[in-house]
Amino acid sequence: MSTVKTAITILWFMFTIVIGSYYFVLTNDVQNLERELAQINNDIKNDIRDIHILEADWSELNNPERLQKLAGKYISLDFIKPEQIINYSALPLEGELFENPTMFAKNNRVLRQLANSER
Amino acid sequence: MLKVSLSRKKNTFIYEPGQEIRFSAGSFGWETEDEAVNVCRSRIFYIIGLFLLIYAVIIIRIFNVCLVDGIQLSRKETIYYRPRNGIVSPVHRANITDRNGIVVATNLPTVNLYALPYEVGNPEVTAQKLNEIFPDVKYTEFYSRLTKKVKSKYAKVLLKRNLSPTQQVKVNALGFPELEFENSEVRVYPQKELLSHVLGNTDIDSNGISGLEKSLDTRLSSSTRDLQLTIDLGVQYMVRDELMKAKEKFKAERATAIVMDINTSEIIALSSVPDYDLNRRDFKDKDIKFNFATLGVYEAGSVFKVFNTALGLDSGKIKITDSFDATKPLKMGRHKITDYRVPAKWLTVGETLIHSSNIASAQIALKVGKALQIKFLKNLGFFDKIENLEIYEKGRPLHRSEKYWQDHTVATTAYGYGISVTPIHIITAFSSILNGGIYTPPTLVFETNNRKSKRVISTQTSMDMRKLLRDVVIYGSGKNANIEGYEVAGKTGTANKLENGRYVKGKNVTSFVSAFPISDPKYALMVIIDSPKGLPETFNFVTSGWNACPTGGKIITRIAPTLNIAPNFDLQTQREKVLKNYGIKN
Repeated sequence: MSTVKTAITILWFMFTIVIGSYYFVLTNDVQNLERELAQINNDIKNDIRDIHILEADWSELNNPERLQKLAGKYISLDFIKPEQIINYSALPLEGELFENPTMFAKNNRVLRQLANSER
Repeated sequence: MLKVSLSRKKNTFIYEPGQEIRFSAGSFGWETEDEAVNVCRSRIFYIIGLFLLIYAVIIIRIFNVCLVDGIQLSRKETIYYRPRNGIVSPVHRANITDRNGIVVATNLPTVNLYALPYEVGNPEVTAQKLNEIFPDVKYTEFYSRLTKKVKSKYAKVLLKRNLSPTQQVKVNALGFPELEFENSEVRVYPQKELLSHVLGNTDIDSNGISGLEKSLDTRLSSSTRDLQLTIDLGVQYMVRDELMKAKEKFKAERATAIVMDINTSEIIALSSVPDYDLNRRDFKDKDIKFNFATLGVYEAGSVFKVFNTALGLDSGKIKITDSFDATKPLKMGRHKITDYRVPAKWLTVGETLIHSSNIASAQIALKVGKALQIKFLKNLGFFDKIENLEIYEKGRPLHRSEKYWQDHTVATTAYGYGISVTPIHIITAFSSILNGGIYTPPTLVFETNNRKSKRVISTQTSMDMRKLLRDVVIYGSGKNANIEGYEVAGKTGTANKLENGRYVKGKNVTSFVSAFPISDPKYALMVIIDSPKGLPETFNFVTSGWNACPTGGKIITRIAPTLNIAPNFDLQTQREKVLKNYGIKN
């Protein structure tokens, strides 16, 4: 009986140590994770704040008045006129273009020059 | 001995050799060693049981905490540890964006500078150094705040709001222990004056004090979710740009325009100039804060003929083919209703609108009668503040009470006198006349979902009105807005200006209300110019056809491509033009 009693006592003792150690490791892990989480949350918070500032900056840079001024200065863009929007069916067919070779060549040259300047 | 002590025999009177017998308070006056062992044994079992119970509780709790629901914190702890449960946004007031998500109002983090007067060692030096960093604040101002008498040693005095990061670094470098920073926020409007009357302002503590900032203050301060407006920033800019040009050209006191989705009543653009930069707070001229589009009630003049004609046709009391005598002025008691530059002849319903005849319009209204007119105007919302619109500044219409609504009121209301409404009332009602007859309250915010639509006229009347108003732009006073391809339909209106209850001679308020493309109306536009001056190029005319109308035309030309409206040209004509461009004979 003594052996059984000793065995149970040792078992309980070991069980206590295991539980205690496990609990210690777990607490330690949780603390580390909490620290990591706090850091991540803080980083996210800072990122949110930075995005906020950048969004405001982006909005200011996209101010239509500013964009119009820049477009006028660097790419000479003007407002779209209604007559610039042409129905596809109104465009001349390929055969029709050769009816007036001079004009076709002239238009083609203009188009080519435009394409080159864009490059 | 051992054998005896472990013996399981109980209550036996046969003692083994050597067994200890002693007296006690037991049932027979003595007890054996065996009984003491039993007591000990049972105690050990109780203790083991107790420990087992404790371990069981610990194990169950560990499993509960680790695997089931975690630690339940108290309210105070929850607040302290909130970052564990989620991110708290560093910004405490929601952004406002346009319909495409471009930010138009946002809160930016900043710091305020405070002083602890109790801790100040040498106020002269501190004030001097601070004055060098902030030259806009006087030395004496800093000095008086630093030397302010305070009761507690923890009391703080505000020295400067919204420091820039550079200024903060400079102050920090001074190393004065009496100076402290506190995190704060400042409301910023990156688009400056573009949406000034719509957004309104906040005070220094980010509480709304006007516009949407005030009316939606609870929504903006309780959630950090963006508030999306129905306004399109690009269209808003174009509208404002054209208004500024018109105001300058016609030397007008004010110019206002509204663009509305004709089917949903969403406001795409709303501008009133002069306006102001929302980031500045030092305005001397309070008048620039006046939002004419939603707050300014005025007599709209001939624009009301649209509603009068729609009422006449919808009531069935007049037909589109009917004619009215405009050969002579219409006498109403001691008043006389006259026309301005209208051919003196019998006019059809269409001609009444094309020539904008007051006489014929009054006759239509008189034929319809008082009861139907009041009911119709009420139905169009002309008797109340505009319902549902989220903006704080909303004007209440001015009109006679029904008791005093007499025949001459019926007649003058037909051509827009005797009733004052806001531009937003007119454009909303106008949209309902042309969209098939459904009135929908206007909105500036996408998330508003309590708007109730109602039918105000029949679909047939709406179709007839489209044709009639298209004719006004082709043949009548709206010619200057007849943009090729965009099929504009509309009505001009010029009314004498009322100031302090009296009409001012030579001052007009001109309006142009329109819809495009009329074959399938998508958008409505209203332009109002307050007190325009005559120019040589307008032959000194100050009527709507010469100022508000061409301004409307220019706005439509600019905004239509942005709003994805393709010009509807006659295909053959367009083809001929293109081929001619290529030098090809068709």
